[in-house]
Amino acid sequence: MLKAVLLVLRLALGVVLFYAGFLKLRDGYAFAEAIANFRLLPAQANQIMAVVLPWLEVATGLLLVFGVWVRAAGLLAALLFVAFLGAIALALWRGLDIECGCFGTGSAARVGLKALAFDALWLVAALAVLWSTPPAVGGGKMKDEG
Amino acid sequence: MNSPASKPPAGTDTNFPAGTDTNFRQFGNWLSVPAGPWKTDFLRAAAVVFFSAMLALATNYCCAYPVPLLASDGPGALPERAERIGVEEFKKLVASQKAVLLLDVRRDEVFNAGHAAGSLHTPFEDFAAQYERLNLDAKLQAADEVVLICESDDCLTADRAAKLLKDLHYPNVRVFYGGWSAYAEAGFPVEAAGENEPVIQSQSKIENPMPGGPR
Repeated sequence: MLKAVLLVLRLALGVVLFYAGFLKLRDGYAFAEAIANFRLLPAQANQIMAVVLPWLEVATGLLLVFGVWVRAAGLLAALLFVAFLGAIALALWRGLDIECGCFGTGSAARVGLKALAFDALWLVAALAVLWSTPPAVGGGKMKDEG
Repeated sequence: MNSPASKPPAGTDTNFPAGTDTNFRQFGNWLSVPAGPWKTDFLRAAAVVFFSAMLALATNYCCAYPVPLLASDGPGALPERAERIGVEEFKKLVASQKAVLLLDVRRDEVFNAGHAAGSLHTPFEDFAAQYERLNLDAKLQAADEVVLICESDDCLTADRAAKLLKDLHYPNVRVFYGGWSAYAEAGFPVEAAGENEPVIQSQSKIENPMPGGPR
């Protein structure tokens, strides 16, 4: 039962990450502006992030869906959601009313408690996947278990 | 290679009672954390980041509008917030018979799907080319007020375009508050690509149809 739940969690986490990354790929320009609105990083960092982050989400999502390198992907997913949570929490704390950009730009989703709760839930899912996956023993000679 | 009798692989805790899954470290009865080497996973995670970054760079430069990664004034820069004009104020402006020039700085596809009636399309990415092509200088000189429209109020492109126009010494440049979504919602005349007449007009909402219309 627990195994089935964890499998569903892993697949759902993968699909969400893949979908979110895929939507962001459509317009890197607008996504860079969405990141800039968070007022956290310098322009160059925002631009690099706008280009790299969508592909990182897509790659992490695909690994989770196909059950390849699950612990590494779980680690990345957890780190991504920690970063998103931090960015959203800071924006809320500073009273910024901005577009979330969580699922790309133009989705009209705003930064708010809903986005915060959404990210917190997926962080829990990522940690569950991470902690339920046995390590790759022997430097990757053993096949990862999904 | 590892027969049950042979020594367990390095990194495996041997202090567990027989039958315990040594891939997990037990903390009490309910929490088990994977034991064993994390190094491989960290290396794999780093590899994923590296290859994603390479793919991202390659695809960025192949596309129509590459994001200028190292530009200090690129889309990642937070421009000075331009002065806004709200719906009510815009209605008054239109009613005042002043010459209003509407510039839409959004991308082709969204502009073509619907835009303010009579607005000129000046996507910020090729603003310089449009400036020449549309003979924008003369139009800007002739206008009493210039109003810029972007997608929403989070779109920083309009702020950037406003700053550019101010730097080029065109006064009275403002950004439509809330962008295209607010403009369309307020019921101002709109049109789609290649049409001069409004297509999704909600007449009942329009209190002050633009006399003469913005050029």
